[in-house]
Amino acid sequence: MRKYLYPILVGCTGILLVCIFLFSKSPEKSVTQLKLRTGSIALGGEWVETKKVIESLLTEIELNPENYTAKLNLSKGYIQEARITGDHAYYDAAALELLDDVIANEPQNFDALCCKATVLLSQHHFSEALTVAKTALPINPNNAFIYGLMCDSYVELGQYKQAVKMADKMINIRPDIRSYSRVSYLREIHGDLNGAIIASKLAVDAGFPGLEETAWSRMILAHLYEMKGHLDSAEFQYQTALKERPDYAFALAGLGKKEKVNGNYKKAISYYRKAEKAIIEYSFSDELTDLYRLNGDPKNGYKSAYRVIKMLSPLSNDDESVSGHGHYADRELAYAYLKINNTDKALEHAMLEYNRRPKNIDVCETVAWVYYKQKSYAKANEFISKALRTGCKNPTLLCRAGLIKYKAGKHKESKKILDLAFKNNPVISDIKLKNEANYYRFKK
Amino acid sequence: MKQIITDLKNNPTLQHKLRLFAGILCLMCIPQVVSAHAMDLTNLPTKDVAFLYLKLGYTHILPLGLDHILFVLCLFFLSPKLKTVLWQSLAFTIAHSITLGLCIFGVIAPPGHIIEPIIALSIVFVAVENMIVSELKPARIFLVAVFGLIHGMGFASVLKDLGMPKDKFTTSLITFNVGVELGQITVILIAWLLVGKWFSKKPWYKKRIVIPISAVIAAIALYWTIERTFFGG
Repeated sequence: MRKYLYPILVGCTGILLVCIFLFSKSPEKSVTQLKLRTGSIALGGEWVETKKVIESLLTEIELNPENYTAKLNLSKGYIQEARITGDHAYYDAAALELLDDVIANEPQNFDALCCKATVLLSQHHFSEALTVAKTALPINPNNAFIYGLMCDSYVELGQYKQAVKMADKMINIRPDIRSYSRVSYLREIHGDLNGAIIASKLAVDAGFPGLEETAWSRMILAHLYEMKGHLDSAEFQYQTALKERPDYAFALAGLGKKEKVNGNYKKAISYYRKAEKAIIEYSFSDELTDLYRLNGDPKNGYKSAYRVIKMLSPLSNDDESVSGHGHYADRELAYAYLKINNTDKALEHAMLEYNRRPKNIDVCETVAWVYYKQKSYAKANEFISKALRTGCKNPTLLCRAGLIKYKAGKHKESKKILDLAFKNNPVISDIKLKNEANYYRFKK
Repeated sequence: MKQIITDLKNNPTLQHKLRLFAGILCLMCIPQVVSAHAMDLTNLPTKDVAFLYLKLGYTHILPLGLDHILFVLCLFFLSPKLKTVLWQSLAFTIAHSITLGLCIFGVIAPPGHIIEPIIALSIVFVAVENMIVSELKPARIFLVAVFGLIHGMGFASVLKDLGMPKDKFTTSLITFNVGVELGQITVILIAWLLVGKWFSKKPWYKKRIVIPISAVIAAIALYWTIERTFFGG
């Protein structure tokens, strides 16, 4: 009997193998569902309409999982929903899954490739976004949007010359809110503040009142006005955005910033808390950290600081996810750790971001500022010089640069930079930084 | 404390055991050592990518790969001599590296819903084989290699899901495999330390240890085979 056991085992295994080939079915992937909005963003017709459209797309996909047009449209819906709710972690991942599915079946689908690059940009996967955009470009080289995506990727990777080229191509093909916005930003980082305001105004005028992208353009314009010291014009943009789009979180935060620089901390806190309730956005909690501290409430300040770290950590992929999954939020985390005086962690995150995109001026600024906080002034000077290379006149950057240069022993250069920082009496929302910079500006 | 140290100095067997424990602990610590943040792999130094994929390979066995753990245990229980089982493990790794590479490079594209039940079936086979054969035969190593080829296709789906950096493809592939091998070695060492070292030479070893454990493993794997075939689990 024993000698038959092995052949029986082989025979049974063979039968099971045949069963596997005959009966095993490819599992159907379930599509990520729409989350219900809460708070003020759930009010109004836009949410009702969005919900209706997304639910109908979900039904279409359920009935026919190979309906790639529905999948593409659903991904677009999720991209928009991520912007409106701020829940990028959920919707970006959902959109990416749908888009990967579409692209796997239709590798030359221009729309899908553009959407994928958009999601990757939102996730701060800039190198990958550029690769996807480059794949899409030859399919439709006359489309303005693809140049916008390439422009954004190049900007974030610090390849500014290429970014300018792409923005020029984009605006030549289609001068609209998107292309004007990009031109405005490029002018801003190259120090042409007046030119940036002109382009930003054109962007606002080109937008449809009430749409999120128009409201966002108003925020950019307001920010530029603040850099010029035109507080009233900035406030007008915030108020208009709120009229066109009630409870728009970034406009509320803008008004909060205005109250903060005027020293009305309690009022500022109430604006930021309202904004914080409206959407998921770490920067509101980050501002609240400063505001609580300024208002003599360090306990809530620390709570808020830790909340920011908690919000950003899952986004920065502290788990083992790798390329193509999740968000990179290390630059933001570096600043968040500075707020709890953990400069080692701040440096760790800053360097992670620097390794990804060493040419980006914002990243160089972050690394420089962390080194400054660590009192490594020579290193800070090295990085801040890189951050200044485009001639950007952002007052926060200039204040930091001035302080670093001073500590690095370059007093003349420091004074020049600090004078430039305060030239237009701009809004500098970091009050501590502003006071410190002002002190060294006049120190002999 | 002094007494313990003196005992330890005079007892080479105890020293040997402690060294083993330390070795196993080191292996088990690998995920912590390499728990770096996720990177945009395109701009990362090669050593960071290597560490990341080493960790992925290791954690794919320990603690995430219960099916692979059971397979390795089946290899171990039939002949719990470290040398023999480590050779089998190496054959398994070389084999799965081949199919893993072929899948990742797109040479072959086996469907996951077929491969996963076959992986479970391979565990059933070795577990039942443990119960019916009296001793390890040289043919077993070839069988292990064949199953290694199948398991490699399963590993590939994991790597494909996670993505791999194009410019550090070879590094990530090699370090992932090294991680898998280290995971397997850890499983083998733990099993040897807990069971093999103490009971493998006992006359009742097969009857009281190999057969019951293999039967449990076979039952679990059979359940997986059915689940993965009919319910896509």
